[in-house]
Amino acid sequence: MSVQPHQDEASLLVRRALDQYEANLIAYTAGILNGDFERARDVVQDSLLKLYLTDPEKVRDSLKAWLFTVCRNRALDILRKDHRLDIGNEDALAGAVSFDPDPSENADSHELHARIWELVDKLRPNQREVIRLKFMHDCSYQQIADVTGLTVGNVGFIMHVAIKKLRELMNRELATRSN
Amino acid sequence: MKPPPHENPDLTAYALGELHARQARDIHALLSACPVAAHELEQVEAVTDALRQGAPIPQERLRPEQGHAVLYPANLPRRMGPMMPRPIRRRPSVFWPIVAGVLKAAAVIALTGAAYWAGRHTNFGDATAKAIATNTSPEEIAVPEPVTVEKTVVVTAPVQQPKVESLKTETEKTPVVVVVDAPQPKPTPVPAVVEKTPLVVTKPAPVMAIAARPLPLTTPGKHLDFVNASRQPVDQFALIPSQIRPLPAKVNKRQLLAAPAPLQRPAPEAKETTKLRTPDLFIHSWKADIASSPWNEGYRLLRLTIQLPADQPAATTPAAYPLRVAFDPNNVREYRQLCERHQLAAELRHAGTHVIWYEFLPNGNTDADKIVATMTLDKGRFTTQTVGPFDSSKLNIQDRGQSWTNAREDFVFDSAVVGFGLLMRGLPNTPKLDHNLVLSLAEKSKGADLNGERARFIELVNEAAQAAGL
Repeated sequence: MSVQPHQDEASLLVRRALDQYEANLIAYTAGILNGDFERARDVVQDSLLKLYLTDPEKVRDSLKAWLFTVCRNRALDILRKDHRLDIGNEDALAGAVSFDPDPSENADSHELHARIWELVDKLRPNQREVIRLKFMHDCSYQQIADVTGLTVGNVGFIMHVAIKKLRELMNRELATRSN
Repeated sequence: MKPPPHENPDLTAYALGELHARQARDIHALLSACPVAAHELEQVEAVTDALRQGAPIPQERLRPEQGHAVLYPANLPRRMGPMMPRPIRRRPSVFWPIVAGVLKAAAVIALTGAAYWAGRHTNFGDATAKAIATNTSPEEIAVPEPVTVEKTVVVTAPVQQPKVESLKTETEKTPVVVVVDAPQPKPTPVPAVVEKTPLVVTKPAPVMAIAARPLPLTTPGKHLDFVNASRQPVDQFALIPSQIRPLPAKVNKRQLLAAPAPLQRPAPEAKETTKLRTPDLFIHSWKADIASSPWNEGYRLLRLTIQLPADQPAATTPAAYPLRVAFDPNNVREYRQLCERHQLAAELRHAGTHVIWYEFLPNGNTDADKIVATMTLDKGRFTTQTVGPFDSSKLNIQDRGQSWTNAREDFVFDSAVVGFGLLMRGLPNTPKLDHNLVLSLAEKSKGADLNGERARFIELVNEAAQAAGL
């Protein structure tokens, strides 16, 4: 029986996943789990073990999207069990629009680059997710679509709206600073 | 109807390089024609640049035990291969065995006929005919054996030849052509060989048992004399995990030929960007045993044992990991390293063992518990998570004043092996060490000896003692 070659190939795939995506997967999962890195590590470990048990033929060509998808699904399962899954996050969005920065903050443009990621947290969850997948984890539209289950067109639209919202928030930030 | 530029998602996709060539050409055209679109693109790029530059770099990693569990999933269920159709069992055929039998019989008949025909048309047949013609008695004709073609020579011999004595009466005066056996070589060397064979006979069972498992490799220690612990308290040596990897399995040529061709695996992707780094060393356990030295009164023997998994990344590289033993000058006056032993793992999934032996002279009495040394292994991690507030990178070695007579059986036997090595090397400062002491230690701790290894060692020591004239 040709079990051993499959297992060897699965081991190589797991090692490759660990080398290339370990930190990104933990960061992405922790983002879904509201910054809980310990749980994120457990989710990533489970996902890598699942990768070991999966037929390498099915995941070899789309390893990155597969890993992010599995981590996402497991993280969402955890949130559902905890009843903490917030689909709309309207309150956060409203808070983001009426965001009032700290008056003592005198940020320059470099700080604004860091600040924009704090503003990302104020976006809707789906917008936040595509922004993170694109700019933190370097996923293409197609990979984001594979991970989130959306179409590529939907991903493009959500991205466009998210960036537009961030522009608006940044402009408010700059206007507040100039005052 | 096209959306206004500030509502066009393709502008964002264009800024992110996500458009196909045709869509990108459309956006090019739009940008050259519409300054509002160009301004919109600048605004989008300002945000995407800020996102790219300010993107946090993920730093969090799995914990070491999680990483190891992922890379070496020992307790997972084995994944089965894809279901294959069961081969169809065919009914045994009646026709082909009969045909094969007929063909075999035909081949035998043909070969026999050919041999007969060839025999009738050779000189050998003529010689036999001559012999028949010159010998009237049919019993005498039967003396030579024409079948032994390779062993016969044709000679023209006078009748006085001893081999044809039976023909003397009738062929006394005339030379006769006969076929006789070639003279046989004297059989004198044969008994000598037969006499030697009992010396070659050995006990097969223990040897096979020992050959089945890899033997440990022993390296002599670097110190001949004792080292003053006050001047040089730290002894450092390299732990090389590749030394404990199991030997490759010996493949029978017949099995190799019968085996299916190996699968073509894709070559692993070259990591050009990642820098090669030494993998962390994983160990299962480490421990220290101390007892009095059987051959050196007042001195103590220290055995350090480290168990390492053989299937870890560190074992696939030639990397060496520094292992330090820092003796406490307050409790140890002098020490020396006797030897190191590498016990290879029996299989890849098993553990190998690295053992280091020291001999040291304690300061003062050995009745009280004292920490005589500390072992430190840099870049070493345990395969199992440590429990409690312990520093897992250090092992405090405590001397409880145990005598070798009360030590564990394996410790005593190993000390006998070490002592034999010291004896062979002629190491100084071993006043009581001789073959008898080694033998008594080994025989005292022989125990069950399931694989015959210890009996073989005792036999070896006995042979060495005999060779030394003792």
